Amino acid sequence: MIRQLRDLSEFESRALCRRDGLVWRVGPFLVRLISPLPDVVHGVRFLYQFAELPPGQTRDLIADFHVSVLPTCAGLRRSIAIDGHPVYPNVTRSVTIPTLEWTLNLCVFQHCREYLTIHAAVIERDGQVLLLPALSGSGKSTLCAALMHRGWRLFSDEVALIDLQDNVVHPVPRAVSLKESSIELIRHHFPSAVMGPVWPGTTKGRVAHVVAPPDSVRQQAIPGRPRWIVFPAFQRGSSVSLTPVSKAKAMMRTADESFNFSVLGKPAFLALARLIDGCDCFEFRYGGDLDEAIRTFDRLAHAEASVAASH
Amino acid sequence: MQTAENRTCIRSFGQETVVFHEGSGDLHLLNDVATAVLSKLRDPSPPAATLAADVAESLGYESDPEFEQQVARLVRDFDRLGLIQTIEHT
Repeated sequence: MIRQLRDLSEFESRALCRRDGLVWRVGPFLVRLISPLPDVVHGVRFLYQFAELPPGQTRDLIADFHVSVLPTCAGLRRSIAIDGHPVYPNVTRSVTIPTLEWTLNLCVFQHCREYLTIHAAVIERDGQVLLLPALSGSGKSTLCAALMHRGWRLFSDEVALIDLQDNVVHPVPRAVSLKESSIELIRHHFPSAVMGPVWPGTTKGRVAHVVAPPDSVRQQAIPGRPRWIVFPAFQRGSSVSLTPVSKAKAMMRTADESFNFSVLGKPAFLALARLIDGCDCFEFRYGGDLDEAIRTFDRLAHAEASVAASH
Repeated sequence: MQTAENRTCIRSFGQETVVFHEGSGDLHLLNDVATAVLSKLRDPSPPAATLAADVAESLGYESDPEFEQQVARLVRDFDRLGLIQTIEHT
């Protein structure tokens, strides 16, 4: 029987977080969080409510990432650290939760060497994975949040983990971070989305988080075959268009979005080449018509399913 | 000259090629002409004088002085980027 973070009471969670740390699984990683702050525990319990608790005594677990959120300046500020090294040393209470989420992004972006990591949203349908490599502001998280509520499985809204040996992508399902008008857009289209509070005043403006669906978390150990690479571009007022991109150009653009391509070197090149070999690559423009965007991606998946069925 | 086989990884996608240089960690995107030039340089010691003509023939292009200059520029660029190396004849 797999225990979830929500199976712990608030009291149990606070006690663990103060002492040995609260440990939960995110994809292939275990995260350990230490914090004496009740609002941090409350925020984490909401965002990771469906997260798997690994079996065993917390103190005996070997975590991949050790994150702490500790009070500073007589409690007026917080310092967020990875493995004891401060990454955000002067955080106000009002932006602690979104900053903690960015810290967990950094854990994977900067400290992960077992996979080729690419800044991308990743979703899956019928075993086929769609990667959306892009910078912030491209609309990839909005698309991700929309698609995960329309039959696609969330792998991640921030990072693609590409296996260096096999041509598979590994899920890292966490809350999807939305900014500014995307918050209202998703709330309007998907009233059933489990969304946390809006955090104003962050460096990215207003931010809110949509909790990763429980099915996505439950299947987080199941990788998928990469099938499409789509470079999204949001342009207000633009109609939806999906335009093929050559594999060579797609490979260059995807490498540009990698966090550790230059560190890994040749193994990364070979893994990326395998990834590109197996994918159709496109550029996708849209101006906010989420329904048409969803239909576009559904048509991709449907075409793939039709081809598979005919064989 | 020949390609720096021990320092480069090459993946071709149709008429375009992506080259990875292990020393610099850089990726390079080659169009059809650059791909053809690099491919010819992988053959043992193609004579420089006929390289442009060989490349043009493989692509179905006409080889003229402008094309020969383009090929010569590509060879210099490949050398500068470390993608090819001079063969020492002993």
